[in-house]
Amino acid sequence: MKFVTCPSLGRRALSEFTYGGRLEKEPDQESVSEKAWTDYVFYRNGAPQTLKEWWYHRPTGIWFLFERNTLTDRITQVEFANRGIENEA
Amino acid sequence: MKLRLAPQPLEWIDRKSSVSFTFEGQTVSGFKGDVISSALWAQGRKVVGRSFKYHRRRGLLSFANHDINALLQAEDRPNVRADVVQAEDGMSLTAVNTFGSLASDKGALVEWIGKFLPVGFYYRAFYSPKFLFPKWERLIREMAGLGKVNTDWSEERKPKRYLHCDVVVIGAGPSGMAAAIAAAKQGVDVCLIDENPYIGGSLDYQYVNEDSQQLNRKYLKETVESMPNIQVITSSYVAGYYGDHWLGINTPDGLIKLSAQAVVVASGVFEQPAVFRNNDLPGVMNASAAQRLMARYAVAPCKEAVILTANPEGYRAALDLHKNGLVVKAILDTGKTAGESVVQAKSAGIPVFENAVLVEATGRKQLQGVTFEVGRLQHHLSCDGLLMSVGWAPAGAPLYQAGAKFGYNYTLEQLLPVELPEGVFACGRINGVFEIEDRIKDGEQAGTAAAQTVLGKEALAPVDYTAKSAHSDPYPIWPHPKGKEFVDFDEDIQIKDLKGAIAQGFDNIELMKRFSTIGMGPSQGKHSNMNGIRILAKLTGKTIDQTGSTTARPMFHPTPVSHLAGMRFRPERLTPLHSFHQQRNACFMEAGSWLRPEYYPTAETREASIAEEVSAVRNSVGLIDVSTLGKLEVFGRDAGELMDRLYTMRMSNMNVGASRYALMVDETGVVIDDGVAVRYSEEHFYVTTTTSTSDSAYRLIQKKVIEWGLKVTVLNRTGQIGAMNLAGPNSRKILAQLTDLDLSNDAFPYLAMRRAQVCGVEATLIRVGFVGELGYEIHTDSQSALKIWASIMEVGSEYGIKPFGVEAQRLLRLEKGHIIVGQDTDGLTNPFEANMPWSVHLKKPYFLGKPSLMKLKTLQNRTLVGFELLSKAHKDMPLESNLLIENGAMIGRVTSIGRSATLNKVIGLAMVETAFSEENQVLKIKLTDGRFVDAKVIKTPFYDPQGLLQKPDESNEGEAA
Amino acid sequence: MTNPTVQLALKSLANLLHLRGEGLNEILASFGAESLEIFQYQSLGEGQFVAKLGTDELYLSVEPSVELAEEKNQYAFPRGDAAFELSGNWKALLSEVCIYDFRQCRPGDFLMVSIAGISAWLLIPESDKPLILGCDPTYGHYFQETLIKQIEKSPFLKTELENDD
Repeated sequence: MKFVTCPSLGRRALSEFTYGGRLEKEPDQESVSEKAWTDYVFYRNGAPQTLKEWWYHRPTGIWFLFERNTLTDRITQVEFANRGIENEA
Repeated sequence: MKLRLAPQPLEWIDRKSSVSFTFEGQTVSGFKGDVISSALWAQGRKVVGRSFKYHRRRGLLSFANHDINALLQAEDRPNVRADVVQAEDGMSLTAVNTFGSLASDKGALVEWIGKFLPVGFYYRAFYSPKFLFPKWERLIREMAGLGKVNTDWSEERKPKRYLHCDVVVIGAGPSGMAAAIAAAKQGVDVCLIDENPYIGGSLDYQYVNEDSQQLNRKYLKETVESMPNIQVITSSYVAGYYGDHWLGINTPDGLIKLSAQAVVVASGVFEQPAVFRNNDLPGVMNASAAQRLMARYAVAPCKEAVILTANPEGYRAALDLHKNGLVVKAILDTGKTAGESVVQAKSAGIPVFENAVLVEATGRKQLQGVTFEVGRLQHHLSCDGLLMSVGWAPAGAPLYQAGAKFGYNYTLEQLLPVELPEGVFACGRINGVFEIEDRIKDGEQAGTAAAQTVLGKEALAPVDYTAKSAHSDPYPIWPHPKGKEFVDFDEDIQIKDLKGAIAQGFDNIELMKRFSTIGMGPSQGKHSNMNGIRILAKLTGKTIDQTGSTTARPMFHPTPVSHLAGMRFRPERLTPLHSFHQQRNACFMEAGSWLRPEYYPTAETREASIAEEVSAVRNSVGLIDVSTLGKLEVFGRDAGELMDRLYTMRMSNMNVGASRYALMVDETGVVIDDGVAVRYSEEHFYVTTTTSTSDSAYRLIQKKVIEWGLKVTVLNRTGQIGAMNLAGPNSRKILAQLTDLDLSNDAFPYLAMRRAQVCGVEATLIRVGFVGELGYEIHTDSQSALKIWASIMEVGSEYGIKPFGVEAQRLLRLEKGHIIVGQDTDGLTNPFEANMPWSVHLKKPYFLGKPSLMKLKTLQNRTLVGFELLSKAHKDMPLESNLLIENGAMIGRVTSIGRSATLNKVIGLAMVETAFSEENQVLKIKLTDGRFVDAKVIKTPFYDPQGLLQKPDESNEGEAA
Repeated sequence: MTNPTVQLALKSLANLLHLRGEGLNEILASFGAESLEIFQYQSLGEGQFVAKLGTDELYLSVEPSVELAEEKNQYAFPRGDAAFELSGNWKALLSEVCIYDFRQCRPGDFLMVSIAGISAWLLIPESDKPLILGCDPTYGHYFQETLIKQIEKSPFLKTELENDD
């Protein structure tokens, strides 16, 4: 079992969380090309890397963003997912 | 008791209370605290089991909680571990692997035909002729396996428990105890785990007669007991190490799942047997086994012993026997061991043969003597005990599982951890530290370092206490022309079997293991892997490091399935109206985590009851509990904007007091949810989701609110609100008696929403179609729902109101052609395929999945259609998911089907290739039994196609407000 | 309950309310609880409490109920949570159904965790005081049944009982 230390929540078991996918900025629907949209929807680069990922804490209903290395499965940063995240991605 | 000794200083038995049990039908008595093995041995019963393949007699070998062939059948469970389980009054035990009895086992005949059963024989022997295989299979199944499972035994589930500490120490021997104390002194919480019932480890059986260790023993044990931040867990073993220092600990009461910040592995070493002819005769055992027998249970391993050794530990064992008045005929040293215990043994008058080789045990049913050579001269000694102390292998499972790397140390002739993962520490003999004072110091530094890791402090560089001389013989293996030199006692693997495996190309450690089955028995190679590696290395000319080791996976010991199963936590949700359903003896079904009434048994059969419910709704009035719908409140400045972005239709132009169908797709355009949205105010919507998606839809919406940066709040109120649907031509007449609200068509038209007092309780009323009749959905706080429900039932009685369940609802909705998301749609269905193009407003500037839908609109190749079955025979009734076949190819499948009494035919929905979706197309449905039945595509809704009944006497198109 | 080390009783909490909106600090201040941090609660006597779930989110049980300021977009939603009182060694019981490390919580914490597969909230009490906890009303029946079964059947809890003697 992995444990994650979260702001306000303390050290929590990963079993209390639901994975919500990697953080990605949705392309502009008006101007996006078919190829770019298809890549956004279907294409996942599986190479080992450090990703920002959405993780949902079910008991509190809070979305977090974890920075996780997909090779070591190590979580290096945890923060609240705040409104307007699309601008940062 | 033939072999019971005088009281020992640290014995675990209570001589004041005796226990009595039966073994193979004979009464055995022992003392409280005896394990089954020690009680048997004390009485001179040296045969405790038969071997797996050849059914040879076997006694005690390792006596270290993983003993070989000491698995017994009890009345209530198989495979009782005789060296672990304490003897109890009234136990009735038999050996597990015998045909007949332990004393006279017909299976022993296998040994005589053994040469026809070469290594890997079952991988090779039974391929042809094929028709004989079932015969072989039956025979093999009979011969293989240990113990019998009684399938009449009742289900058993052990609870599990979570535990958290800072430092966990595995093994409570001298180094483990020292580590626990040192860590606890740093102020962190410590757990100390040992598989034995008492802490102390080898300090209490290898050093039991050494006065010099009394102070250490007293200090370590008393300090462990007295420190409040050390929690001791005994009779429990670490079954597995998992990521983030997460341990599964098997206790007699159930599994403990322990989370620690740092792990100290002080699990010690397994003594390894020597490999020579007849090394499995009862009476041949590891020296440490003999020491445990004596120190813990005051049982002599034998009367006349010969010690085979390669280290000071063997000499120390000889001295222990000597001290107990047992005859030590000789010490056979495979080399020239030096040290204090050697001097003591020699001065005690014990003959020592140095450089002894070519050992062979003799005897028929049990050990009677030993022959060996020294300088080409053969010797023979008679004895009833041959104690082996030729080497050690790491009890390294927790380290291996944590990702530690081991390397072979040629000074010690032992595998040692050379690379440890972060937060994992090793100390004591597993670390190659053998001097007792050094083991304690090694434990202290490991415990301190572990605590400092937890506290975020810099740890000091460790001092190297590794022993300076070998404690293992590099090759304690003497092949014999006649064989029967056992490497693996679990699986009866001899040297020739490994040779055979290697000769056939299985010369990699993992391949050799699987082909020969070495290390695959109940002890999982604890006594055999090291010798297997040594043999493989020698025969392939590789080093031990090049040879490698097999993977040590969980579980460390055989772990009962009841422990792994644990308690069953299966959350079950009840609606606020559940007590009513129970009173009406509803038949419940599971809908997600909810229990819902499937139907209320009012007629003789299930079908008749459902038909009555349907008829009530169509002809008068019915009431259904729809509290399981997901219910979300959406409020704030951007509420309208959010609704527009989430759903495929435009929502922000809804009038206050209106409702609208709400369909959601994901980014790929697949339908994921549907429900009804209402608008309470400019900035406040209320929307339902399907029963099974309430959590996931809420989660998704919250995420989208964040992504889109909208100023809006979404609350999941699913469990806080009760909901019911009152449907049928008489529904308005009933509701009118319970509210002051003007229910006229003009004041409360079709698809409008009103908030009003019902039965004096605040409620939301929505005029939805739902089942295609005049109807009202009523939502209210969960505490008030039952009050409204009961009043409706009471007022409705004059109209013959019936509560209806899920089955009637499904049939009623199917008659209207309504889809069920997740049943009529699957993980790829888009709204066009679901035949709902009207629900997609591609002109909206933005909504979730819009670019995908724009493309999918041009790519449609399957369509959801309605059909009626062309046969009315009961035997021709298709099932959901039956396939549609055309010219031998699948063209679709049935997604919903039901027998409509209202329409007097079988109707259904099917997802078909668009080419077959035209009206009047005949579809061939393949029934489960392989027959075909015809169906015809027809238009939906099947019932009341104009939708007049859900808005009687109304001309306007709803949604006005 | 057969196990005297842990006892479970139903608890009724009056006027459970979930508040969302702006300017909630003024409501907190009206209870003298303006210094509450997120996921802390303040006891208001007789089973009443106010808990802060976020800058724009409060959970409370007070009588009489609070007045809302509409201009601050304050919304109140009544809650019918199932609530219980666990007395005795409640941490021992919860360690069998909850993975949370209770060493890290302090009296006054409003803790939201998974227990036996469902989401629950806990008012962490002063030591030796009973624990108040609750969950979604539709899970109340399951929650109660599960905890009682655990109290009655757990050999771990029985072991602790023996140790106490």
